[in-house]
Amino acid sequence: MEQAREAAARGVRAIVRRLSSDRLHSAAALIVFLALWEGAVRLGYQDEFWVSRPTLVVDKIGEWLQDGTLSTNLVRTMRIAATAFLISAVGAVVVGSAFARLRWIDDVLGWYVDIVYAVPKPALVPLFLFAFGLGDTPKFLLVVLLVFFVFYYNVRAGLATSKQSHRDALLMLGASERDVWVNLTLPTLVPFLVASARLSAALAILGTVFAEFFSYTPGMGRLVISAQYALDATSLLSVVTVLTMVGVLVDNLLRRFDRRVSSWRL
Amino acid sequence: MAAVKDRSGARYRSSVWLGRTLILVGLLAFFEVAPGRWLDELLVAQPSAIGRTLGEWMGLDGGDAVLWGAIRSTLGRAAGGLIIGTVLGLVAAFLVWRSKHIANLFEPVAAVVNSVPRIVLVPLFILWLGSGLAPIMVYVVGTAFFPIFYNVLQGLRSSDRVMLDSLRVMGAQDRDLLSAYLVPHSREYALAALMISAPLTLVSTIVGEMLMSAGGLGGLLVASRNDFDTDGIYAATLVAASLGVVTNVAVRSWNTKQRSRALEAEGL
Repeated sequence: MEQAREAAARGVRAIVRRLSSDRLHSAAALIVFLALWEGAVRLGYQDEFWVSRPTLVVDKIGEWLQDGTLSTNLVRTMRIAATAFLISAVGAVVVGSAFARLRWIDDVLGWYVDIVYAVPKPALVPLFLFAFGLGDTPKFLLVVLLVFFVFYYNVRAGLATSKQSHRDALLMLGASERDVWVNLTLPTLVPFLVASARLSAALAILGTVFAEFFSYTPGMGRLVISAQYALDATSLLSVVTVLTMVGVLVDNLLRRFDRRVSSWRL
Repeated sequence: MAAVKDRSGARYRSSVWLGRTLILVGLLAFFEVAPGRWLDELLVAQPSAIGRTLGEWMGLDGGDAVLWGAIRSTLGRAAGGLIIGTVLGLVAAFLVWRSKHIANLFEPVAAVVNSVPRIVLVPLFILWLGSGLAPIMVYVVGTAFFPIFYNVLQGLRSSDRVMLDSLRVMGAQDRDLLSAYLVPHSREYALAALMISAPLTLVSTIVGEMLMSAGGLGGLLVASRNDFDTDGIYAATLVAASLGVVTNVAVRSWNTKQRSRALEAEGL
């Protein structure tokens, strides 16, 4: 018991030490804000029905965790986001590298890619829903489109930075195209890919949620819409909280991964 | 070198344009023929039918010209949100840069608010602010605010301390610092932010209109879908897409012009 407490105290100290003053500041500001909110509602300055309060949100999330609402909806949303994200990322790398090699194709089709890039993607959702029904296809399409361009343009930028002289040197030393790809091109691309992943991970999740607003299939988006119809501020804030936490978590994981794979870059 | 020469050659260029045109014509022809044969005509509209609907929306058949009103209100909201968000972002960036206290208070809050998924907040704004224009505008202003705030703040923070101190010693007030040094210095950062935020505000406006069915292009999109108006939904999507492309091109060419003007001013 004594040992456990000591270990816990050591853990807390270690966390506090690792937090920079910036982070402490953010945490303090957040806590003060939440306390003011809770207080204002409890003391009757604000109406609980409209603005809810932090402890109600925590209770709601706890309730969702217990009855499985959260796991069902969040897993479903995340699964679609992740699948579409991966398909799109791989597709963009393939298309981007292919276009970089095939000049004429790039000049012809790349022009269309640039045009589609400028299209407001969420505006395509009603069309997707109309043409492909209320299932998962519209969500997939939206996320694939959102993620594709981030990876595509980053891959193009990454390939542009890889030096022709390095390539020539490798080829002269008898490397095959495959060797060049594995030993030169891919390592040059990795930081660009990680940067794309960080930029587009949140897009993938939010794109899925947005499409779910309109598609009436289980997922975080439908939780939002049913809460909106029920004028249920607590549930809305709970979804916002959960999605914020997921977003921050995913970004942290990717940042860690970034630090690991690009440690050699200094 | 041969490849570069090849690429700029007139023959190469015309072959590229031929390729682009052939693809476009091919797609149009396919979708003109396919509905009813290989694709469900209830779900896929023919380009000619889309064109006809667009003509109706422009009032060419003597009816109501709904299209111009929708475009005007979407562009108006987007522009209004962009201007308000940009002004707020500039003021906030200056205040945060100027005062350590404000920075300590505001920056952590901004970081938290910025990491919240904005799109999920729209239903909450609707709950709080009613179904008028307010929720859309809050969302659009929020979209425009953060790029300009963070970019300009970075620009201000990268300003030369020695230069600022010397200007102050020579008796410069805040206003003089701004006009003589800070604004020209942060200009590039602001322009870069606008490149991002201008197209984004258009997207946000359409998204807001879709979620609230509040007129504009977003409202038009949702309404045509709810009416199962096949031609209408393709036409509305086409208009929204074109508006996005036009905005992007406009922002880019405006940005290049501003940059070249800035270079001229520096005597380059």
